[in-house]
Amino acid sequence: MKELTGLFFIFLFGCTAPNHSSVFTPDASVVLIRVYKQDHSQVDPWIKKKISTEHHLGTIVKGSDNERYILVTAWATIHSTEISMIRYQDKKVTPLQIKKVDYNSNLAILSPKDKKSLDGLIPVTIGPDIQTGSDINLFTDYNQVKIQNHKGSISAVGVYEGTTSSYQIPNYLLKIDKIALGWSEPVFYGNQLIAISSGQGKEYIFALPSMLIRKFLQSPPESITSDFPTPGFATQSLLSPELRDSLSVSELNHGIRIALVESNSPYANQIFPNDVLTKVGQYPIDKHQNYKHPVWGDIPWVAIYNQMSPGDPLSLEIYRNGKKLTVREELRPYRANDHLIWQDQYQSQAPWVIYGGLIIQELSKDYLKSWGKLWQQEANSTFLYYWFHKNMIHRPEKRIVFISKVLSDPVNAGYEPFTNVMIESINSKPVTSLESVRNAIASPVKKNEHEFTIFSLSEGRGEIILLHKEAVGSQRRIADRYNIFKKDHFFSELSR
Amino acid sequence: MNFSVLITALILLVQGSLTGSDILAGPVQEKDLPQLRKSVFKVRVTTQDPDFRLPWSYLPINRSHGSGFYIGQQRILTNAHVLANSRFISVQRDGDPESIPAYVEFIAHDADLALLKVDQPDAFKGLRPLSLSDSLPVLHSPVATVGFPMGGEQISVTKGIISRIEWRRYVHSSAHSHLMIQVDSAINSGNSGGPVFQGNKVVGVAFQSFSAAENTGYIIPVPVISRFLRDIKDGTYDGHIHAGFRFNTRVNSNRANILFYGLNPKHPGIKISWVHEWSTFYGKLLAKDTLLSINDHKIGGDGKVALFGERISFLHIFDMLLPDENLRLQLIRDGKKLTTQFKVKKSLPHPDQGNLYVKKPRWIVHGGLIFTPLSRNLLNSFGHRWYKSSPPLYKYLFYNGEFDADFKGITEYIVIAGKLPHPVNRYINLSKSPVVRQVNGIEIESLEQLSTVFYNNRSKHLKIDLVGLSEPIVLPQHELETAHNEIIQKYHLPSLSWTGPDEDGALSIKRPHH
Repeated sequence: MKELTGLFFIFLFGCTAPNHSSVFTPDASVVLIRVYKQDHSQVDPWIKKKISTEHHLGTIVKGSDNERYILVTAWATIHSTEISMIRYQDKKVTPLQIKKVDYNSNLAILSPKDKKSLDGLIPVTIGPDIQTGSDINLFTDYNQVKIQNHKGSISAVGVYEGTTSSYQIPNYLLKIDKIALGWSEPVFYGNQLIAISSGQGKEYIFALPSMLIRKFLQSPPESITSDFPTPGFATQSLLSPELRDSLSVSELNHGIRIALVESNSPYANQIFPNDVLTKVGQYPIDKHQNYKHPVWGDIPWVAIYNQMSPGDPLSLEIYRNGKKLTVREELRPYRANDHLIWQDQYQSQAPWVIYGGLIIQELSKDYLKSWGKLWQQEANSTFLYYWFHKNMIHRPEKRIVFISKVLSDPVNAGYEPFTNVMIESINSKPVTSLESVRNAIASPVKKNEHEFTIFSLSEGRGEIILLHKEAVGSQRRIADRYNIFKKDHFFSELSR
Repeated sequence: MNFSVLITALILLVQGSLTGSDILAGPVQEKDLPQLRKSVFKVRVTTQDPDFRLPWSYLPINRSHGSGFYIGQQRILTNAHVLANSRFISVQRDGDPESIPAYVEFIAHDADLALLKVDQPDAFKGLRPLSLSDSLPVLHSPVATVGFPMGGEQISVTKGIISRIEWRRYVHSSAHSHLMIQVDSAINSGNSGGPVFQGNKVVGVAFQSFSAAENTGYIIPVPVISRFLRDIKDGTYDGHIHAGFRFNTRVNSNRANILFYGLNPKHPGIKISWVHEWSTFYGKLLAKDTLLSINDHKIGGDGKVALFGERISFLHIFDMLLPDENLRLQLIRDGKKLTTQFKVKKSLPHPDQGNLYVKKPRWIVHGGLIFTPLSRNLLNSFGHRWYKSSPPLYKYLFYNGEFDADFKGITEYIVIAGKLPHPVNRYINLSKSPVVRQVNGIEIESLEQLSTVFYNNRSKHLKIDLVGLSEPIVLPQHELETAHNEIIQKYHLPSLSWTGPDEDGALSIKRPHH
């Protein structure tokens, strides 16, 4: 029923005629957002990097509670230490807090503590999905002085990983004769908001379409889970006639190959790699992985479930060994960090702890990025192997835990060369997360009247043995020596 | 007594009290130089390296030269890298206008040494073979490098001093380390293979330099040369035996290790972390063993032994052994001291991490796809900074695949190095780093096995699954024969495969027929 409702919703909005008769006046509905940001270092995770400033535009919208909020991209809020709005009407500066953020859709709403500071600001009307080729207006402010209107058009619709998540979402590709865009600028069709900008490519501006904005605003502002679901499997195009023949679907001219099924997918044990997916809900899927969107035409099938919610049922038609099967399950929320390697650390840093001068971390995408722009080639090759080939294979509560470096101290003498080394076990207890590290360290090995902590390392690197009491006792000394002011990341039996 | 005479005598007395009588001999005696230099040859080489990405093909032909020296029995000693992949070799002795053809008798890529043979005995008329010193030169002692470096045509003599003696990687192989001596004299292109003298003895062969530093040249010392000459006595070069284990130094100096394993803090030894199944040490050494001594040489916590008046990696002791020679180890295992003695053996087949110098790399073209084993040479084909620019999956498998249980038993990883476009493969888009995992459900562990699987396939399809999540490749079996004939014609292939045996590129050029 929900699927049919969703389809009707799309059809209705797809048919809505645009209103070209009045031009939108932005000063009443758009504000300048100033964000101060400060990220953490990945290699010395107690150190925060230098403070930077960004300016975005915020658009006044109404939430599901009928209150006014300021819509920006989630990107605008990441690593923020302070956010404020500057009204164009009177240049008043008001501090803001993050009301709700969804990294999957790259959307966020902000609000002031004092709601009166929004007086005089008018929420925009959110418009429908718009066909490619349509003319649009994008409003921006280069110099933080005055909003300017730039005309452009929608060149195409594509599905891409968001800036703040690996979740794939539809994006408008806008053709606008201007650069340095992509700062949450509102995009209008007539006097209706149809997108906000999220980034700039070589030829196009990327913008998040109104279908995502509507969905994001639908759920209550206080909800903390993403309303964007996933079916938990990945697919690949099925263009090769030989491959189709080997999968017994040569008589079909559509359908795609299921490449991977995550172990916590709602469809786990019902669909398998090499099954051929021919229909999702009511939509046939062509061999290029597209379905026919009522407004946008052929776009990747993942946009079907972008419009749904966790808990919504979704049926799949598959072929296996030439036989047609239908399975139907409820979608689950997409959580970017439900993988082997942390994908986003926007709400919290990937956990780390210092024990005996060893910096022990859970591997994250941000840590891989510390190798620079070419990290996908130049980062540690073992880490990259897991990132490219093992990350999607979900193992419940399993992370890659490693020693990133050793802060030299007499307690760890001789172990300084151990950098970027994965830990297999501690005190014979398998290590699957930082929590398991803490638990294992808390149970030292007793031998010869001493207590030891024994780290078994991967890839033939051997072991690290520390005297447990000395390791714990070294913490203050190490903190002082290396100017580590935050003490809560030191291992301490008393902290748990 | 005259004061200046007294000072001179004191200086001489001090010099005489230093170890190494060669210091007094100087780098080369002036009176000996005219005779010694006659035994030094210019070695001219025309080379042709195979192209590991189009493995039936070759890179442009190159000409280069190095140096070498006469050691008797019509043999000239030089570096392997001077002769690698050579197609034609000629030698010219200092002072002689004539160039004479030569051929490679033995080549040791793992030690960067080689022996040239010249069939014309007259080529050595009036020459004395150069003698190898029976000891290592000491630090700061003077040496002279003789050869034919770039910058001129005539023989060159450059003086320097011994800067360092240590265990280091030999670049030619890139997978082997041996004893090496650093000198501060210039060792330039063309010097390679030339003798380095102290007095009238050869103390080493000039062979590589460190481009990032000034005045840093390296020579292969006599012990490594002597081992090479010993090895070839039976007519076959067996090569250095890979240690095949990993170890950590200095960790046993940590108090925790000493207490846990009951070690002697004054003799902590080194900790073994891994032993490969193919290693001669497998079963003799275990992970977590503490190795205390090797052939009665005490190993320090730094992994070094006292040798030649220096501290040198303990691996040198093992490195000098030939197959079936004895090795005695003293170690601590589970708190108990043990002594084990055994004859070392050549390693079992295992993934080779060194540069290959074969006449023809092994390959198969099937369905227009080029299958070849992953090698250091293939990684090098990604450019000068291949360690950064080559695909991460290739690097992972090359360096760490042996430790991954998913790849247990695989002796070589077969990659698809490229595609020769043909309608039979028009739907195949290769990922950045395709590595073959299975073919029709059979795990592939070597190129020979892959060839067998291809040849024996009777199924309608040939399905190739790759490592990771890449789309499988499916080829239509019934179209392949026609396609192969067309591919051979179009791309001028000599055949559809070459699966060995491997033949050394330099050794493949046989001695001239008389």
